Amino acid sequence: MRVLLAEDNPRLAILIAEGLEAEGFVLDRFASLSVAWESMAVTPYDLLLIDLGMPDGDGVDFIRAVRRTGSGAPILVITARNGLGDRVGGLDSGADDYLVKPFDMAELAARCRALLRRPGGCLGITLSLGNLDFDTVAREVRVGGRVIHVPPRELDLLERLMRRAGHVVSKTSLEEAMYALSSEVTPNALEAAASRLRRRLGAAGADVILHTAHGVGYMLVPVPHPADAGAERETP
Amino acid sequence: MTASRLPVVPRSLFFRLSVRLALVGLVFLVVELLVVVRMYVNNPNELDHLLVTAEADRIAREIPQMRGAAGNPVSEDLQYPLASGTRRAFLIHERGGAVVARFDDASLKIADEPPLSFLVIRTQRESWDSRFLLTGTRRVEVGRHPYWITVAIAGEGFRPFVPVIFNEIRFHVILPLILLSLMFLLFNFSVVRTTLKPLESTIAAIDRIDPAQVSTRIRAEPSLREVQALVTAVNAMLARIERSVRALRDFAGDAAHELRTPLAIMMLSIGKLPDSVEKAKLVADAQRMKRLVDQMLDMSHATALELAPDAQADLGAIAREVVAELTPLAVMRGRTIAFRDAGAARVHGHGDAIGRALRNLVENALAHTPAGTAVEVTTGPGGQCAVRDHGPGIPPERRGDVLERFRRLDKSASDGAGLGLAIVSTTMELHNGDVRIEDAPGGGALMRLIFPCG
Repeated sequence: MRVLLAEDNPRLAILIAEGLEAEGFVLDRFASLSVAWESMAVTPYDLLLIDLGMPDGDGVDFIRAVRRTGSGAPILVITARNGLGDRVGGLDSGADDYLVKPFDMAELAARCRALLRRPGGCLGITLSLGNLDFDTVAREVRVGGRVIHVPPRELDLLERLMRRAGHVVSKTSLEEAMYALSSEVTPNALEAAASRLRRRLGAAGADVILHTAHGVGYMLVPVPHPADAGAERETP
Repeated sequence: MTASRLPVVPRSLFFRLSVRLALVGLVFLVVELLVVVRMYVNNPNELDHLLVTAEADRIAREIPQMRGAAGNPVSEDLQYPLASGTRRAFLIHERGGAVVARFDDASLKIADEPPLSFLVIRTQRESWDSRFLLTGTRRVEVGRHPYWITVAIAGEGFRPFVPVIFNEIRFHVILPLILLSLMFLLFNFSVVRTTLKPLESTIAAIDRIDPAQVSTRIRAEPSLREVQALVTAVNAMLARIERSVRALRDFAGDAAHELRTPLAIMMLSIGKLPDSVEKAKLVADAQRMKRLVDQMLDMSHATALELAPDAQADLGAIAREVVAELTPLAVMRGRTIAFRDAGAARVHGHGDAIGRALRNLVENALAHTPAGTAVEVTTGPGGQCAVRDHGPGIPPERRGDVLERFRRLDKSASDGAGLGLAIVSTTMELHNGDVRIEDAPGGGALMRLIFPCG
């Protein structure tokens, strides 16, 4: 997995590079957008990490230019800004996700992997969380390496939740994942499916929690370790 | 007695004009008096003439009574001369030379010699050292009949002329001056009032400026150059204020913004350290700094915000997004967030700003609700939004306090900078809304954001 990193702060660039290399990525660091652009012409990158505030130009313009070349490589924006304008600007221009400084390595690595796992992304076809693995091609779920049976609708639900693990996925988004446009959706079908999935995962001994965000949606999180509060780690 | 300082009462324009005009009038009066006195002193014959005329006029006024009564008696008043310290005699003839009345002082007698019928006015002076004898004739008309009054006045020095001079001053100096002053006062007053009209409208325009809208300027009134100058000066001042306010607002935002890269470096560096208690503390410190930087940016956004007149915000959608965003954090800390939409309305507001305010409110609630409990977020009915926790609540006497910057109930609490509720309060002020802090039924704090209806 070859990653391009455009970041003008040398110390931050080195830290990100070292961190991601430790997670198995290969990084090329660039301190200016023009040099990054030249490198892109000769090297196919699997993922682009772009700092919006570069000295030789606006990152948003750079992302637009990249998209105009027809490149479909996922782009993760790193920004110190968090206004809506930046968010929309970054994502509208063709970026796939954004990460506001400061962040920790686990968060950055998780975002990178999530982008690479998207359809068209280069990363493996298996989604993992805790001891739970989801093979997106074989549509097979394993807990601690042992295959468990999950019905198709719950499978769709689980896939959507695992792709956004650690984040709340809205009910609307989950219903879209579970049902084709034509099919009838009963109001509590999602609740029922989620509840069945929760029992199924629990019975199989998966160390994940399917959390209900009341009134909003659902979220899949690993069981927190008491010593390591919140640092969610995934194995690629 | 102690002299207490009285507050200075601003005087009205009318008062100031009157005082100044009175002063000018007084100076003018003194000058005029000096001029008049000097003129008569230099010209004694004029005074002789005036004194004879005054005496003749006085006598002429009595002629109808004299004619009406038998024997033509001289009234009590006419027994004495006009000028004190003089002796005086008079003789009145009518057409044909007949004597109508006469009055002789003991030692002063006028020869009964009818004046020529064409004589109208005559004054004559004879002097011996400082003594004088004035004789004069005046033709007067009383009831369509002509009369000739001959007067003789004997006296000494200047004193006899004082009443004449006084009379002269009264009728020819003071009276016209008073009339003129009054007219000037009214004229000035009306001129100044009309002139100041544009100034008043400018003052009204300045009064209407909303302190929160630093970009407003006064529309210039082009009618008067002086007022235009004032408007320009006020606008220049507003521009300077705007620049400094913006500089101040931008500073907090810029500072927070610039802190993010070094903070990112710090967090990644800490992340590389081997696991230890020290590392955990550093991680917590860095997280706290991150939160502080976020809040500074939120605060700077909240103060710099200008609400567009047609801006609409969907409270339900905003709250749903905020709850989704904060749920991972809550679950990580062993708390949950429950959301319920009880029919929220669209409100006139800035969606992002309301989102930031609500996020701070929920983060605050998460910091105070005990582990294992839920923070309840409810939107509606209508333009309101409530966040409830299961913490200790906020005592009523501290409820005003906590909305101020850098205020925390528990000083030892390590989470947050104390800006969260100030962000909420600033944002709600911008929306002309209200933040209400209440006790939730069953314990805990209930924070309600109330947006104005319509």
